[in-house]
Amino acid sequence: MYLTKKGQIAIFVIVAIVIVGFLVVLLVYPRIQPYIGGEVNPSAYMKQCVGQDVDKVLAVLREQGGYYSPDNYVLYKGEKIQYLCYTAENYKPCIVQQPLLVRHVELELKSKIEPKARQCMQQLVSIYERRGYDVKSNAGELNVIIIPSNIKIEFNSPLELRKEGTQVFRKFGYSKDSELYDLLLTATSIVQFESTLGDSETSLYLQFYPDLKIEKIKRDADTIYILSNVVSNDKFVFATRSLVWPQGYGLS
Amino acid sequence: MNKGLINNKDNRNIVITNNYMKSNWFLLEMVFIFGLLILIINFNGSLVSAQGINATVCCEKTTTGAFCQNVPADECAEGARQVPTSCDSTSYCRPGTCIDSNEGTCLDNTPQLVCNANGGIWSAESPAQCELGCCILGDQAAFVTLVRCKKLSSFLGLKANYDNTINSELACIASVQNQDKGACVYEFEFEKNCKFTTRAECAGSTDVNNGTTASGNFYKDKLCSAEELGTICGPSTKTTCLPGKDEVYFLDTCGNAANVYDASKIKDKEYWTNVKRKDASCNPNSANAGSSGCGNCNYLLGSFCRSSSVANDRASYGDYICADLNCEDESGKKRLHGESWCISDDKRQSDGKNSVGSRFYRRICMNNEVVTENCDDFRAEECIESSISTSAGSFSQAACRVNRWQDCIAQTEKEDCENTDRRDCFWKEGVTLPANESIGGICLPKNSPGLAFWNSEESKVVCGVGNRVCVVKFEKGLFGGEKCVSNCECLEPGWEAKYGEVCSALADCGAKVNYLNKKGFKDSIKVLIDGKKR
Repeated sequence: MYLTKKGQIAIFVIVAIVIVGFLVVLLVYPRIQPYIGGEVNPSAYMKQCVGQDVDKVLAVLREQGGYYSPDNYVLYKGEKIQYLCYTAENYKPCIVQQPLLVRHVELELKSKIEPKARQCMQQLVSIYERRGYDVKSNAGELNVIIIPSNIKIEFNSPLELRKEGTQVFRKFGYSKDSELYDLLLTATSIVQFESTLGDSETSLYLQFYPDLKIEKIKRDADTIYILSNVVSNDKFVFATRSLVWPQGYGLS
Repeated sequence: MNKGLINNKDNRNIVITNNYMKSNWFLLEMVFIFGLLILIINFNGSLVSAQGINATVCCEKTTTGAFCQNVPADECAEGARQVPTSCDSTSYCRPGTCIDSNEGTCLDNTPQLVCNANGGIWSAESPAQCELGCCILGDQAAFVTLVRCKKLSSFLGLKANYDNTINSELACIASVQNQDKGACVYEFEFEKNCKFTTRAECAGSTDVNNGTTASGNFYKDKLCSAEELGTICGPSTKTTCLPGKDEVYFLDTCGNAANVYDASKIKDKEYWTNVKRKDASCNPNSANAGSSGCGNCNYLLGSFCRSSSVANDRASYGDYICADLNCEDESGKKRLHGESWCISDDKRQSDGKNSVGSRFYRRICMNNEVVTENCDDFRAEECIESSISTSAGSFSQAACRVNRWQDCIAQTEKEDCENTDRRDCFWKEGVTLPANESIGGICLPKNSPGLAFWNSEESKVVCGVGNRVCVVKFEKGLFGGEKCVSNCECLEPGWEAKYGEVCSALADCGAKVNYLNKKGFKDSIKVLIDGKKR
C-alpha cells in the first residue's frame, strides 16, 4: 500500500514536470525559434524582432494625435495631445494643422522603427551567416502602409542567400490587424467639420459607422476627441481648438 | 454713496446695495463700459483691444508650434515669416483645398504652407480632382472622388467602376440597391462551383480563386445551396456578419452568404434555395437583440451583427449574434442607439436662475453605452433638445449650441428680446436699469453666463450693472407722522427680491448657490436702512 502511494506521487510529479516543460516550450519557442535549427523565415524573424517596438510606437501615436513628440499640444491626463486643428483667436473656426494624417502617421511610425529594423536586419544576416549561408543584402528601405483593417510593415531589402541553392527575397514583411486607418479618416473628417463650422456633430458618424465610438471632451477652450472601435478596441486621441467663446463678458 | 442725495435729515435713506457698490457715478461708469463691450462684440466680432489689433501679425509658425496664426508678433517663432496682415491675405497662409493624391481625399480650409509641407497639393479653388461621383464597389457604393474610388476598389480587390454623371449621394446608393443578386454558377477544376454575387459581376469576370476569373451562369434570387443548381455548395450551421449589412447571415459550405440566420430554418430546404427579403425573415419588426435563434438585427431599432465574444451572448448556431446597442439613461428610461438628450447641473431650470459653476451636458447612447459630452464651460453653450416620433417610439436628439446672451441687456423692446432666432433672452417686466428707466422692463439672459470671479475683475464690473440704489423720501406731517413722497415702490415687499433676481440673471452675481448647492452669498448682499443692517 505504502509503495503504491509513493509510486503514484512519483507519477504525478513526472506528469507535472512534463506539462510545465511543454508549456515553457510553447511560450518560449516563437522567441528562440530563429536561433535554433530549422528554417528561418525573414518575415517571421522581423515580426518577432520589431513587433514590440511597432506596438510601443503605435500606442504613443494613438494617444498623442499621431505625433510621437507633439509640439502644439494640450495636456490631458498627463498625455500631450497634438492639436490637429488650431486657432489662437476667439470666435473663429480653427486652421487645419495636419491635412494628410494617414501619411503623417505612416512617416512617424517609419522614422521611429527604422533604426531598430536595420539592427534586426543585421542580426538576421548574422544568423544566416552562422548557419553557413553566403548572404548578400542591401540596406533597403522600410515602408509602413496603413490600410483598412491593417498596418503593413514592409522591408524593401533584397536578401540573397546561397548555400546549396539560392533563395532571393526582394521584399518581406508582416501585417498587423488594426482599425487605425478608419479612425484616422474619421479624425480628418472631424477636423474638416471643425475648420469649416467651428464644431462637429459626433452623432452623424453613428449613422454610417456602427463600430465607432466618439468621446468629445470640452476643456476650457480645447476639445479632446477619443475615437475608438468598439469591436477591435483600437483608439485614436487628438485635440482641436476652434470657435472659442471666452468665459463671461470677456472683460478680463 | 452720493451724499448730495441724502443730506436732508428728515429723509429716511434706504439703500440696497452689495459689497461692490461704491457710488452712483461708479454705477454709470459700469453701464458705460458694459455698453462699450456690447458695441465691440457687435461691430468687431472679437474682443481685441486697439493695441492688440496693431500688434497682430500673420505668423507662419508660433512659438507653441501652431501654423498660420494671427498672433502678436512676439508669439512668432524665431525665423518664421510674419506679415502685419490677416493670414487670409498672405500668399503662404491663404486657406484653400489640400489634395491627398494618394488617398484621393480633399480637405478645405487648409493653409498652403501646411498642405505643401505635408506632401499635399494645394489649390486656391476646389479643383476638378475633388469633384464627387458614384463609385460602385460590388453591391455597395460610395460617393467619392475618382482617385478615392480607385483606392477603395484596390482595397477590396475590385475593378474601379466610377460614374461621374450621378451627382448625389442618395442617387449613388440607390443605383446599387436595385442590382440583381443571385447564384453565379461556373465550372472550376472540373467541379460545378458557385458564387453568390450580382448579375454584373457574374457576367463579367468573377474572381473564383485568388485572381483566377471565370464568367458563369446567373440565377437571380437563387442561393448557391439550392439543390436544383447541382453545385458543390450546401447548407451549413456557420454564420457571419457582412459588410454594410445589419443582420447575421448563414454561410453555405462554399463560404457564400445565404439568408438571414434563423435557427428554426436550419434544415428547411426552401430557406436554403431562394433569397428571402429582410421583411420575410424571422421577427422583422423587432431588434432581436441577444436572440439565440434569430439573426434579423435592425440597426435603427438598436441591434447589429457582432461576434458572440464581443456581444457577450451566444447564438444556438454559429459565432455571431444581434448585439444590443440600446441603453438605459440616468432615470432608467430606455434609449435607442444614436439617441441623445440634455442634462444640466441645475436641477431646476428657469429664466436666469443658473447656479454658479453649473453647465449643460449632452448624453448620447452609443453602442450600449451612455457617453457624456459636456457643453462649453461658463455656460458659453447650452443644450437644446427635440424629439421625433418613430415606429419604435420617440427618438430624441440633443445638441450643444452657443448661448446667445451677449446682446440681451442692450434690447429695449420685449419683441426683440424674445426673438429666439437672434438671441436667448427673456423679458422681465416691472424692473428697470438706472441707465434706462423708461422701458418698464429688462431683457436678461435665459441662461446667465458664468464668470471666473476668482481671478478677474470682470465680476465687479458685470455684477455692478445689477446694482440698484433707491432713495426714498418721506415728508413729516404738520401734526406728526410721516408720508412717503418719492420712490415709495422700493418699500413694497418683494422689491429687493425682484432686483436680486435681475442681478442673478446677469451672470454669476448676487445671492446664488453653486452647482453643489453651497450658498455663496454670506456677505455679498446687504440690505441697509439708515446704515443699519436689516
